[in-house]
Amino acid sequence: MKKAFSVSSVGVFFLVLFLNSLNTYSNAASAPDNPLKIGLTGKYPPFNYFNKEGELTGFDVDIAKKLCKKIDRKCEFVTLQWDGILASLLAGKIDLIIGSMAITPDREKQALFSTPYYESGAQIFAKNAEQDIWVPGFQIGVTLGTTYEAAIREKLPNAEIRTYKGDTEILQDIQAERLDAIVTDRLVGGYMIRNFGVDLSPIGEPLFLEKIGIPARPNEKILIGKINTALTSLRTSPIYDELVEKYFGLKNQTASNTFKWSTAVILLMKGLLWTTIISACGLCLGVVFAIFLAVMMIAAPSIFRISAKFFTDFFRSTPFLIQLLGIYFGLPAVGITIQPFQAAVITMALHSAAYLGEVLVSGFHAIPKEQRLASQLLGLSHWQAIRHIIFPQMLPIVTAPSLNTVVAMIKDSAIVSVISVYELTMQAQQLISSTYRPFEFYLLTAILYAAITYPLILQGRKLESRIQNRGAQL
Amino acid sequence: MSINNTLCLVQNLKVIRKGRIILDSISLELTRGEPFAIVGESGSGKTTLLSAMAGLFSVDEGTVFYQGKEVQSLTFSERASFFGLVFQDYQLFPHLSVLENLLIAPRVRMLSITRDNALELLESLGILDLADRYPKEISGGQKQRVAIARSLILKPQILFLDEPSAALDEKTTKQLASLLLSLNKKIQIIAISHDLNFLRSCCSRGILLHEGKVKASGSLDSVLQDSFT
Repeated sequence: MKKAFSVSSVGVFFLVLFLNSLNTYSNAASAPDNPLKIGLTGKYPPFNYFNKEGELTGFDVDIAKKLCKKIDRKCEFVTLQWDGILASLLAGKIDLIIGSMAITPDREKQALFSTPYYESGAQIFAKNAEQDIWVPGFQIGVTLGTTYEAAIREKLPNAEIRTYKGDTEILQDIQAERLDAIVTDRLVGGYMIRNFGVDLSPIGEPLFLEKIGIPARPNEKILIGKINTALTSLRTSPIYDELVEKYFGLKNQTASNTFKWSTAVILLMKGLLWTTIISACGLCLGVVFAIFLAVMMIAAPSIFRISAKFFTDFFRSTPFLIQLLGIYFGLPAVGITIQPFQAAVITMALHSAAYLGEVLVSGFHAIPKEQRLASQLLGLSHWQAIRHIIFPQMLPIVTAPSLNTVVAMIKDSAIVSVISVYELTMQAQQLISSTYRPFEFYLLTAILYAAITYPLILQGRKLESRIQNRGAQL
Repeated sequence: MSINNTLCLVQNLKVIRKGRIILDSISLELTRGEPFAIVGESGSGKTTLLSAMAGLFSVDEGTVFYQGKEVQSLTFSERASFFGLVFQDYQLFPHLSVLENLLIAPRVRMLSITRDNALELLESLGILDLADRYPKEISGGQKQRVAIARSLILKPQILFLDEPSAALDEKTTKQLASLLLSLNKKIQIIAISHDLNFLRSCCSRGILLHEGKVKASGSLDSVLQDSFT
């Protein structure tokens, strides 16, 4: 469980071990007056997570509370990022991790583990309990980068394995009958199936099993000894079975399936706000840059004209997604740190500038050259002619196509969800993964996008017909 | 002839386009006097000569002077005080009303020309009732008068007209000719045309262009005589 993160943690261990050799464990957990600090992420339902009331809860949390009671110590929960959690343990910031950490040989070199408090593993789930998983072309979904992917490839070489961003997307495809099965953690899978109302059954034995234990610093042999004693007694008592039933049993079907529409709507509104902010910032910068590009393409010496032309052609002929990823991952590679929000705004600015720049240039060329000559013959300077004669005539010509570009950009802003910007699409996807209501939330999201773009489309259409009337009269 | 009488001096003008000689060694001295005509067939170089005199492009050889100053060295506002030009298709500003077409340049350049000045000028040209109309709402002949007014309001010394009778019917052409004759009392009219009826009713002197060269100059009668030989 959570092996994907262990590699990055290992690197940190060595550093922390070095620091620890300087540290004499002055904050040893053995002193019984101090509360035990228990580390976990709080982001791993149903093991440890914050419920709707904002309280830390879950299987791990309940186990921890029972253990603390049994060994007669006060406990305090500390939430930490998963990839730094073992380092924090070794540095003495926390005393125990009760956060679903699998016992692996690598980790056992760093920390002292208790006996397992539960076992889990990779499990195939399919819609049909009688599913024959050995038929060639059997389609199975797995979350990218997990240990399950390698396991399933080894176990079922004939299967067609498709990788996904997360388990929610896989469950959606199974519902839509585009996929036969999912491989995920045995307990997490069971939890999702119950809570999202997906009718799936486990197929066969788990692909592999993991033992989940409680690590402490290597010198805490006494503490771990007490915990092992407490665990043995807990696992043989009916309390343990009750906890298993509470979080993983079949009785508690609607435990956390209730969600509030008001909370969901607030989240979507937040997303809408971010979509508006990103689009507004990106487009404002884009307009400034477009004017700059247009001036280069119209009036600058040929070297600038060619580079401006190359820029617009490049940004018009490549996908927005690739530009976004290029900027988000490319700039840090050349030493420029960039936040997802900044990357989104910059990409939108460049992309829209390319389109708006072209609109401006063609608008400029739509005005007869003689209009400028006539202005000059009346004694107007180049700039005065542009400002008072050319630009007012360009305005009605460029407004409609500019509005089209603006609408296209607002819709394309959905793409920035791939770099974890919490805009409308991202919020919708998050909501869908926690509620499993794809239809309702995608529909609502579409309506919210239309709420911004549709007035612009109507305005553009109005201008378009006004210009056509004007053209007929000229 | 003293330099004060000379409005525009063209010296040894040569224009080559794509290896073809368009204007060849044109020399010309324009003085204050009767309306002046530049006559010639299509392709004889009339419009190119007019553009060169207005400084709209740089020529390959030769120079155009206004009161001893080379046209290319003049600013746009200096040029506008020497001459105005009425295009064959007038080039009124379509987004502005007739009155605004007259007033835009004075206003932007902050000249002391008032709305009343413009209205008086429109009245003198018989188009006062068009003041609030837009270019797309008026006829070709009316547009021409607006274009003339737009140049006149800046009080230049010369008014160039490119093929002024090209888009007009016979009656309007006659009205135009008499208008130009009366305007010529205050401003030197220079028209390029190949319309013999118009030329006879308007101008009494001029030059004949043929294949980029001045073939004849002097009184219009002698010039037109040459055009048929």
